[in-house]
Amino acid sequence: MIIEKLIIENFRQFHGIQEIVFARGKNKNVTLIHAENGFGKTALLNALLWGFYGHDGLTDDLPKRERVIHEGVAMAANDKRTIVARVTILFEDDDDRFTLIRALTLDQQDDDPRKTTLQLDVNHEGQTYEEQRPQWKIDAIMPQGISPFLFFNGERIDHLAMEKNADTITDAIYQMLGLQLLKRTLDDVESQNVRGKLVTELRENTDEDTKELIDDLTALEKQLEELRQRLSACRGNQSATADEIKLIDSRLAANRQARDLQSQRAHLEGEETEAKTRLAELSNRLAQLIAEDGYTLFAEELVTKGKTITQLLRQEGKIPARVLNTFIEDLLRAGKCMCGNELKEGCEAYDCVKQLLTIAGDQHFNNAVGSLDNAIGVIEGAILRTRDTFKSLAAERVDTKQRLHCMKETLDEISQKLGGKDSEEVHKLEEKRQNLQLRQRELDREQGSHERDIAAKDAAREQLRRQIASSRQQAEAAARAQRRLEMLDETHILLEKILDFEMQDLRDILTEEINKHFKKIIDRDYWVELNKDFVLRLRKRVDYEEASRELDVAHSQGQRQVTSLVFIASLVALASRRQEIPTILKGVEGGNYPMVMDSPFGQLGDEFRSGVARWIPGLAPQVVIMVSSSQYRGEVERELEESRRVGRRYMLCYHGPAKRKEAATRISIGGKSYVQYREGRIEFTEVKEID
Amino acid sequence: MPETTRSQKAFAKARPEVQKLVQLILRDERAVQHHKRRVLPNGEGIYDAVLRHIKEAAK
Repeated sequence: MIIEKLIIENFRQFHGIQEIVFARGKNKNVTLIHAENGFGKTALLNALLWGFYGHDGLTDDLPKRERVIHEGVAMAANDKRTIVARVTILFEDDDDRFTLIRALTLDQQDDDPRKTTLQLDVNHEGQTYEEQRPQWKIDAIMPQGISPFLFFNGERIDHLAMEKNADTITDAIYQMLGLQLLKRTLDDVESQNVRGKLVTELRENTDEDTKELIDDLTALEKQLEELRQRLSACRGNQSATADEIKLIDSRLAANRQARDLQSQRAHLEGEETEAKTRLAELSNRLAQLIAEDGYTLFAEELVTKGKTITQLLRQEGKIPARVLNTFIEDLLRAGKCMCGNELKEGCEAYDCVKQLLTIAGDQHFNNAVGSLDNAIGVIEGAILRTRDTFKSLAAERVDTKQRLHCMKETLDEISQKLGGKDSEEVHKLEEKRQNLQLRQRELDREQGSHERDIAAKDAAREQLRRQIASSRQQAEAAARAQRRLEMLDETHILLEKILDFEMQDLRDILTEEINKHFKKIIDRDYWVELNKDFVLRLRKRVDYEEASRELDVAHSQGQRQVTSLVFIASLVALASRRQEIPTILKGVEGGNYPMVMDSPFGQLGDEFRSGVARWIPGLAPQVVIMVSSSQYRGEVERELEESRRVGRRYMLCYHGPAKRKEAATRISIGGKSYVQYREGRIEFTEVKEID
Repeated sequence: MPETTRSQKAFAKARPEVQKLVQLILRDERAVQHHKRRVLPNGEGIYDAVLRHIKEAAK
């Protein structure tokens, strides 16, 4: 999707009709919108979101979200039905062109601001028609779930690089890189309209016993669905609890009495997370070691015994065979020894040579002796290696457990100290935090219990499916229905495998893409990792004495913001060249997506600003950047000018009785001065195109 | 990225009937996705199409 034009009418502080035509050239893909804080950048971002998704699309940081109609216009209204806020968006997707109009009258707003009207006209191959299900169509083109990746406030995206957003990241990858096709297909084959109908067909054509099994299976599948929903709700609660704890932490960090202890706790909790990750790694490696090489630890006695036996046989001259039996047989057959003596049956020389056959062996025998020696050596080596690795892993595991125990004690102490502070606020915050942590632990347990239940029921379902399949008393119709269900099962398994592998491959490619850009922006030996659970992490290597370990970086807000920005830009970039990525899916669609960024340089330190300004605009097919003068000045201006990517430029001019103290009356852009504030009775923002 | 992806290998290991069925279902799913509807260009609903392919694959 590429946005051509936005027309705003009486939306928030935009009075009358204002319009923006967006740059969308291959090399001139950037639209730059200059606006001081409070002049309407967030409202502009929200105009696009409201246009596409209505009230639900508005961002959380927009104040008074229920009031989208310009306040001055609303106050002066005589007839509420004629006062309207309207957003028109012209955009293209694939080769179709769309005109979207969303409107809300004042009486609708007073009644329920979600009751907007939406019209979507589609021009397909020169023919224009009105879409009957406009919201459905918009969601099909750009689902609301991916909008936070495409329309965002740059100062608020740092949270993307956090564990709780793994699901959002996974969904965005599915959607933007074309794997939604596989997900949707899997949902469809499992739906009541497909599997459900085949199960009914089987049930109708089967005997009573099998019917019972089928009913059990249907009930089990229903339970599984419920459990999955509960698990999903549990994860949602965990995420909400983590948010609340984070909020408390930030309030404690801002409190003078609690600041130091809170900072100590934040540091310690970071270490605790790392230690827990390491403990899990160690346990996995130990389990793997025992599963693969554990037998060697019990093979020591056997190896010693084997060595004793071979040694004895060697002493007796039985191994290896010093003489080949084929050689002896040749001499006896020829009737002549190698010393020249005649070998006639019955004579002493003949018997002597024949006797040699008892200690002779063939080449295979000698090869086997060599292999045995080799195998004993290999197992001996494996025993030593396994023992050493086991000892070292087990020791580190004990050590990590002890460290975790100490950390927990220190964290408890910190919590007690904070709880005992004189300040009522700190005391209450800490008490609430403790309760939330308890809740978190309960939710952890609940999640674990749901996961175990799901695994058990999954296994039971497989068992039932096998039982149904092996039911012998099947009529021809039932046998056919059974074959169809088996075919469906195989199809489902194959589709799941394909989805899993495609996702893994895309994750690797995306990680590579992210790091390619990330290294251009961050001048440190860090790298970004999208782990198997799709958590975005910033990693570093730490060398200590002989050892070298990879650790998570306790990143600053600026680093998190850059990580998130680079992730989004890389995802958008990959989506636009999806067809070049090897896949089993024919004609897979990624798509072109715009990136609309409000204040992307806001919280960034000087070290990141120029890198972001230089690299990000080149990654997406269309980029809209909204900046205040302080964010734009210096390296951002230089980089954007040098890139020559800015195709269109606007500024927001604020009219009103008073302006913010920090905002100047005029703004200087590219050496020219423009009025950005005009005093007036009515408060509104005007969009002006500038050179 | 290897020339043959892991998903291509997994696909190649499946029975030919299942391979064909998956191809047919994905073809129709792609068609409805492309038109951003749940109905194929010939008017058939996607569920009916999937069911028809399965029934034809296991007669």
